[in-house]
Amino acid sequence: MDIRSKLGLYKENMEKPVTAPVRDTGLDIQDLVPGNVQSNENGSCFVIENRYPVSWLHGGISLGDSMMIGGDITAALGGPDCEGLQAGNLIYMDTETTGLSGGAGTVAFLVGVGFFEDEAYIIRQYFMRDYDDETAMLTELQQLFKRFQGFVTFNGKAFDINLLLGRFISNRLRPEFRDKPNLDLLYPSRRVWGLKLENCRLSSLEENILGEFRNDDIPGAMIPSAYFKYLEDRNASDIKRVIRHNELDILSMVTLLGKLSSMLQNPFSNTDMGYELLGLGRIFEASGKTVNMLECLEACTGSEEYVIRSKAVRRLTDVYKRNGSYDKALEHWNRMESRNTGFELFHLIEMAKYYEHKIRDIEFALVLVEKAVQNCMAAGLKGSRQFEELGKRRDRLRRKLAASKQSQ
Amino acid sequence: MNLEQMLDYFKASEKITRNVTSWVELPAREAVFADFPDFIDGRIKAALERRGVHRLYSHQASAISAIHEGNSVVVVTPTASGKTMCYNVPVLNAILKDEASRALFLFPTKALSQDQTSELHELITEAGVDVKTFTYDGDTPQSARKAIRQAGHIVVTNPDMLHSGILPHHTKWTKLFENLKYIVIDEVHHYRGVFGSHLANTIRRLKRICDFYGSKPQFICCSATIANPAELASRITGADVRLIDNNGAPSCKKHIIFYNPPIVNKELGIRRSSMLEAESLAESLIRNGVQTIVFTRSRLNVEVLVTYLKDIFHGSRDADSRVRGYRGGYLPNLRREIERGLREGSITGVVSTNALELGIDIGALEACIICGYPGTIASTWQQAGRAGRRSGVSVAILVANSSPLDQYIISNPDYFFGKSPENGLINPDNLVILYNHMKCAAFELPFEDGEKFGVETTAEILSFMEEARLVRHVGKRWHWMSDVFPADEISLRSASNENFIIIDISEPKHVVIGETDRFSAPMLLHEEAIYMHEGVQYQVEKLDFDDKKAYVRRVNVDYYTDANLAVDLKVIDVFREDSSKPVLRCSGEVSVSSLVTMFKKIKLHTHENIGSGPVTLPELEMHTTAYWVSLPEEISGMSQSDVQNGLLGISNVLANASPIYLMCDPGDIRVVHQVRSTFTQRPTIYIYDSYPGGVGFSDKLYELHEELFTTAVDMVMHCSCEEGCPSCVGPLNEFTGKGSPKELTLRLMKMILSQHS
Repeated sequence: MDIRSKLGLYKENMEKPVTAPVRDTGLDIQDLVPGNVQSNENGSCFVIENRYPVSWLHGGISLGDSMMIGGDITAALGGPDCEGLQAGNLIYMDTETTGLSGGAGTVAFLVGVGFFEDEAYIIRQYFMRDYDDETAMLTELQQLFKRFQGFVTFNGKAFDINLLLGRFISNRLRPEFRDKPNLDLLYPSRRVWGLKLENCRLSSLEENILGEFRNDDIPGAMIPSAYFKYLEDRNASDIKRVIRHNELDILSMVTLLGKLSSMLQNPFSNTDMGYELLGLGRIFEASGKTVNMLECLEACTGSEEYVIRSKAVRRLTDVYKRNGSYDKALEHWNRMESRNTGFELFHLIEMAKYYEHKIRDIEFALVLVEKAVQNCMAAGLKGSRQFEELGKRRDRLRRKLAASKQSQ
Repeated sequence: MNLEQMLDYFKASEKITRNVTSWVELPAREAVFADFPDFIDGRIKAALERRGVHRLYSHQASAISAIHEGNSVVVVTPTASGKTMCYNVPVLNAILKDEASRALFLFPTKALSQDQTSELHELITEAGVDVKTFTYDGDTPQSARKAIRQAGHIVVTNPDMLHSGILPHHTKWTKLFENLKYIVIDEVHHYRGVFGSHLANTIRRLKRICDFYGSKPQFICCSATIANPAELASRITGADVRLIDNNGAPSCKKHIIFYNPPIVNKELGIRRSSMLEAESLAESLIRNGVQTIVFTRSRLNVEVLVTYLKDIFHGSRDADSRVRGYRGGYLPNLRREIERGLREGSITGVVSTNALELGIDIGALEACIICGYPGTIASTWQQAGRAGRRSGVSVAILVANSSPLDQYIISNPDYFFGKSPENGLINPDNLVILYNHMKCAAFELPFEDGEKFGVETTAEILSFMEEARLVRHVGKRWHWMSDVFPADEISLRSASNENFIIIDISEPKHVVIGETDRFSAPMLLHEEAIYMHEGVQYQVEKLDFDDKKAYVRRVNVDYYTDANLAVDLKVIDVFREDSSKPVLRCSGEVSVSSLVTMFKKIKLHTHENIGSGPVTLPELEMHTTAYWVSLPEEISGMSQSDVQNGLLGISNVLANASPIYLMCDPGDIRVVHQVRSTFTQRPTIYIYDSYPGGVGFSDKLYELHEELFTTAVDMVMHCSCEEGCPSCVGPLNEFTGKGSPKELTLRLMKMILSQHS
């Protein structure tokens, strides 16, 4: 019995081979998508290029806005690695892959990049017509990457850049871009919009923040199978949709960076004055811009939204405490108590600590803790860890008070 | 009394000696030393000297030199002979010579890898060198992984992690793979059957990746004593492996006592419980302050025995700390505490599962009691090796239970003391396993035209994969073409990826307590079946065949269940055949279809049939390898029914005799007989591997034909029963018609043997 029939027996539930692939449908990539075959010493691949004027509007923001963004903004958004990077010298990058779980067998079959050149924004997409186009494609990319100071990506740190590094190694090419900085927009986006939106996927930001809606977009989960199908039947109609999907992703990254930058430059006119402002506070904080952060958070304490108010006060009074500005902190705690919801504990505990340790007014500290205990019970948290801790604090204060009365 | 006096007392006590089937005194062994080879870095030498090691044992020196000369080796030496130095020293030496060098250590369990790394850490600290050793397994925090991938000189892991966590991400491990000098595989005898066949394929993948990065690692394996350590190591590593077995470690005088509990029911061949006997032996030793380890076969027995033995110290201040249990499921801190207590001597008695059989450092004890044959001779020696200090005397007592295998070993000490009959067997070319690993390999790196993955048929398999739309052949390469991550779909511990999981629903929080392969599921997990796990009984309440889940609940009943399996076996292909004699002997490939129609409830101990029930489950078909023996069509002086009874007896005996040679569990092989085989038209006994594609068991039995039948004859002849019993030819109620089952079985077996000698 030959090996093939044996395998057939063992793997009885395996899919049966489908009919032989159809070639030359007249619907191949070069028939459907305008582009060129690019060749180098390692073979060739298919390249699509589109030029956009810098005045092009995407999500209500012109592409050119992102060109002028300076080093302080990129550092604030991308961390110390991005210090001093001029956004105009960065290359935007997004990949479409044969799988979503990563690993050495996942291939980026389409790599889209975008960059500013001669008063235009150019999107160039490198496509593998088959697996044997990969080395050539990566070689092209390597050459192109050299011209730029670093990358702009969306989740590129965890995914795209890692994946490309793996692809270079698997193709025995040395990834010279390994140490280039990467401004990954996912992280600042999460800080700014994490509380406001259900998720921070690029598609969600595009719709909710940029107000862009796509027509006939191919869902990300279908992309691997679209490519496998193309390899077999050479019908590029779905690939055309993937290419458009990739292009839109890059455009959205450009204006998303523009949006974030404008918010950072002018927090009070370019945000919703709520969650976004709170999120900006976190970005300012992370990048060490304390003054800007305090401004943002102070503004948030006046918010009508309870969550924003409370988070802002916590963060803010934490900083004030650290700086020794107890008067400012106390003002916020007091204001919080005056707008009391009846359930909040945190400001009471903070005030109690302040009166106990700084003012040494044990009696008043005890009043505050007893109030907190009441709030805790009202909130139905009796028996919780918080409740236990409050009880301990109360008992300790009582003992301390009794002791001090005795010694008097 | 000290141990020596205790042994004299045992010898003088008729109550004990009448149950002793064998008492062997192994003389003390002097150490055989060798000097440090001069290529060893001075810092290592100095560190070892500070720890009291001034010279090497002969086997350590041979191993270190052989490795230095560029060989792959397998070191076979007993427990506590300092085998870890055989790999720690060469690996450290290589790293000290070239900082870029890397090594990969594989251990079968996480607990063992932790223990071994701590020993390595000690040596590194003592030597004052900067060699980074990390454990990389499922417990390694994400935050630490990147640093380990970049900077770890020695990465300690297990085969499962290598398979699913390292190889598929090899591009993140370039430093390791470019500079990999040594791959250490400890406890190599553990990797047999399905697990070993998987490991061999995982190593094929590893070597492919090393090849890609330009490294050519050597293998350093360690094994317990088995019949074929070099063969097993070389089948696993796919490399020529030099055998190092010139043990130079000293040992004290050692008594090995085989103890068979007295018979309490002669017809049924039932003996007094081995637990009770072990208990009283342990008690007398521990009461006299002899540091003792007791090995039992289940976690439950550990608890039962500990409770009993603790009573010895009843009333004394440290009663609770003098006798301890040790088993899987204890938290690491507790385990470390017990290990320390044993080393320091503050613990006098410990009851353990085989968790302490492997190389965890507990120092050397004086006495070891093994309650029930651990299943293999290698394991028995490893457990016995826990007793035995450098000087003085030690004892190991094996207490048998009533099972056929126990009874065979206890009454045939030659098997134990002679050359090991046990073969570590694997089948790296098992098509199911091979195919699954080729998927992983294709994911990791495209196959090149002409490349071989262990087998000549690589290209055919690839083209089959292409038809299944898993790879794409373009530009002389086969590229992975699927969005699944193949390593996630394959467990190294099971043959097919179609396992049934067993869920305990006794408590509100349901727990998965085990899994079993698809082909055993109908037998073990039909509704109402009693499923045994860790010595606890569970009843199957519901079997969801489509979802591959069995729901079980804890019960306490006095019976077990036995499913009636109707097996139909067809020969597909004959690989080897000896038809020169009237008795035909073959090996080949068969298709086994099995259907469970009903089950019986059998009373424990008495084996009475106390009820039955129907089973409605689909018929399953499996292709596997088999070995079969056909008798002549007519056998003079035997009726059809005699032959039927004789074949049944042989089937039962062979099922019990085979594990002696194969180191397998009784469930790993199955025996069926046909009075008139559809293939040979003759009375035939088939033994097949109960895994799709086979893992090498029946194939080996074909070669061991004579030894196997000689043992089987011994087993039946020397059984103390009259007409047959569950310890030899099987329960008498399975036989029909006249004639002693024992005699009929022996007649047929002797005929098979005489035809062949």
